[in-house]
Amino acid sequence: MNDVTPIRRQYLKVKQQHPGALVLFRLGDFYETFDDDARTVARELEIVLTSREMGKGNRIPMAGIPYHALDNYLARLVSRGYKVAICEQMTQPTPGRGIVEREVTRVVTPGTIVEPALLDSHKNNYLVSLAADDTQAGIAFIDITTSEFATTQLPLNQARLEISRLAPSEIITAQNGLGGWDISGLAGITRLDDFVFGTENAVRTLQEHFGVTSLEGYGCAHLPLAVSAAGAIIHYIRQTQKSSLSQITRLSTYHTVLLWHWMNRR
Amino acid sequence: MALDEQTLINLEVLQNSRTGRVEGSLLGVIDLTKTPMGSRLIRKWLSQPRLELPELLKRQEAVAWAVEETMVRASLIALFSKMSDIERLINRIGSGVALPREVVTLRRSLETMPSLVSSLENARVPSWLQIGLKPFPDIAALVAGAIFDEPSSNPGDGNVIKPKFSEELDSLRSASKDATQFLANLERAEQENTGIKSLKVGYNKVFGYYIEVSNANLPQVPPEYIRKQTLVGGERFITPELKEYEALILNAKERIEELEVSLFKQVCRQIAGESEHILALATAIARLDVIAGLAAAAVRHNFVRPELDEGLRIEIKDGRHPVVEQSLGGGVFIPNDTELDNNEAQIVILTGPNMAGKSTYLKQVALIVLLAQTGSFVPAGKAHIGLVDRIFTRIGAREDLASGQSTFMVEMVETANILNNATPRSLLVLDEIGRGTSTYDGLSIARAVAEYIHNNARTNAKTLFATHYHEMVELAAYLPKVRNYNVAVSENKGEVVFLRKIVPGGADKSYGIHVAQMAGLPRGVVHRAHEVLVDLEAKGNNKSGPGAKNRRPAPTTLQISLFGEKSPVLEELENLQVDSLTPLEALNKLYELQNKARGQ
Repeated sequence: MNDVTPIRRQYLKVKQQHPGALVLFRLGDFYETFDDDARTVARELEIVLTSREMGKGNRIPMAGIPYHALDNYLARLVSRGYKVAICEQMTQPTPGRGIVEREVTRVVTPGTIVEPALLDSHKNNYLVSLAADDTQAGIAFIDITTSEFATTQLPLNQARLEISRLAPSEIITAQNGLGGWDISGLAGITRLDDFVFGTENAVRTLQEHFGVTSLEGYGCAHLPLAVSAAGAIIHYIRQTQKSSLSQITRLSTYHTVLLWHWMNRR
Repeated sequence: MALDEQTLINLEVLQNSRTGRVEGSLLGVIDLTKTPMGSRLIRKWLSQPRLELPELLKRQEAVAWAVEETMVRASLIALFSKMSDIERLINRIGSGVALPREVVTLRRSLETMPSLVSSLENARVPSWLQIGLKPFPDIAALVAGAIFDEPSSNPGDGNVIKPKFSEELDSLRSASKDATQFLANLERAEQENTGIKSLKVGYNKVFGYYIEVSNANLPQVPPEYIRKQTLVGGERFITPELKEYEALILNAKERIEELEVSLFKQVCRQIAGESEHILALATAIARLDVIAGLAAAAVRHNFVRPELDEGLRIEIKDGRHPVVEQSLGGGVFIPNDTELDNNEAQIVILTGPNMAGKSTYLKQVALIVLLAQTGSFVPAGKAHIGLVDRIFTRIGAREDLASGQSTFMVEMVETANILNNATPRSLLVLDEIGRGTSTYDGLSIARAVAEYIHNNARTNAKTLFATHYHEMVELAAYLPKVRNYNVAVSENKGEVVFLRKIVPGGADKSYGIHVAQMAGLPRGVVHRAHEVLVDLEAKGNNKSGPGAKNRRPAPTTLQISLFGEKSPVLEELENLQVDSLTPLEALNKLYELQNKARGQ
């Protein structure tokens, strides 16, 4: 590590915290990517792959985009299903003060875009969260650009139909816990740690977010999988957005099991 | 009503399957909304058709209102064209990421609200459309008073907050302006005071503002000048007054930035305080926009209001395919009738040559039902729709290379899904089942599927079954609820003309070779094909072809399994977690189970 520059050390620390994302690392007027990220970004964006010496005899692959063109390049990366962590300079460069502080200010994923330039105004941009056991599924969805947030619980075999209706741009689900059930082909899937979907954890997340002591008022208190899915969404957005979620003030519980048969028997 | 992903694709509801674009899809034809909220809502309505008659009647009622009120509709559409994405704007303002320009955009939209409200006065607007529809004069006035019409892109750039909004900001600005002016005037004033004509006021980063006097004039420098720097040709001085103004200018700039940022945030917070109501307004505008758009589409494309009920009958007079009709241009599309009824005409077998328009007809019926169940008017002369719980489609050849499934495998998987999930309330659209395999295999599967749908109480769904196996027409002989139709063809001296008219009765020929000829196959190939056909038909008549051999009627009830395996109903019952069900869900489940038990 002695032959590594402080910036390289700072970068590696950030990268370690965001292993699943491409890290765009602000260096002056550019957002730079390094190592495999640089290879990926150079290929996807058709920009030059170069290298930079970061420590003695230590040339690191590097590809960068000018800061003012961020939105455009970001749109292309995200539309191809990549997650992008944007690491900004948090302090002004001061001579003699060492390197500036840098911090990931947000992680852009297909389901959590807020930039108007990256969104289709004719479509909702849904992030779907899926929690399942052997027979039932909890499906929650949110459009953070419109604050629409809802959850439901339904038989597992209807889950695919419901998700395809929503046409989400990203699905989050647990590492384990889907069994052999197939959700491929519906949208890019992001797997989160199992504990995020734990019911207790989810209840706590939701209660904290809404500032309530019970979920009764949202109509989902008796639907553990619906709660898991909804809680995981809030957890995920908090992780990726790092800005205020206060505009999300509502969670509605809905039912897809149609009362058709019942209506007609009456 | 449920629509699976395959059906959305097959019917080209949201996008044209060839281009992947909205143009050339159902949405492309009926989405005449003007606001982003409206266009998101109509997409939602289309991908989730409804089953509840009251909701649908409510929507129909509203569309009918908008169709009648031509003037109101026109003024609504004009006003909506000026509206921006209120829903997303208020969200950005609420989450603190909005830019000054976006706040101005919101204001402009809110400013059209008074005209919108007044254009709806005395217009007998359905009351549910008015919920949440109110102007926000206070918010509009707040923004109008606070933010420049064309603000700089970031708060803090100095051109965001208008004068007269904050006294503190005004006084800072005027101080800064005065100070700048003062320094500009200072040079002349000091020249006159001191009589030094070459006296200059300058600025550099190290010393700030200074007064420079050349060596020749040094004796005339007044005593209050403080020497700061000596140069080769002269000396630089400051005065307390000069430094005072300098501080004013530099501090003011910094404080103006800070103050603008905090004032802008304060304005945003104030707007966000109303965000719940403004969101409700966005919803109301979206609904009204969709209704006005559906009415505009109905008028433009000559749609009629369908009669809806919970019965088991679908009757369409002069139905048209909304998308194909548009691409053909006015008056060219040949309308067709449809009659489906669980008790009489449950299965329509549609025979006819390729290219005659079978698929268009099938999709047209499905699209009319779908439109009816979103609350829209429909492309027909007259329509009666008994509500449908799900539209299933098996259309077209598609290979799933990614999962290694052949065309035929995909076809069979989809067919299995339909047979396992259809209810008597469903509408089945089956185009060329069994095409992906050999003729006899395909025909056998097609017949077996049709018989199953006809005879199984659980799946006896209304079905449109297009096939080019003309042997399928024989089903009507022993299945009472099967009706044969074909696409009329006029044949004149070997020339085939497709009339695109659906008429009762089965087709006797498939005209495949004629189609081949029309497609431009070499004359020799067409001629040879004709010879082979004649030959084959002769052989088929001597032996017994697939048609003759399979004339044996299928058993009308399906046999119960003899192998003692556990019934799925029992299995489901055992696994049922009664504790986690609400009473209503339990009742539904019970009904579902009974249905399954009866069906088996």
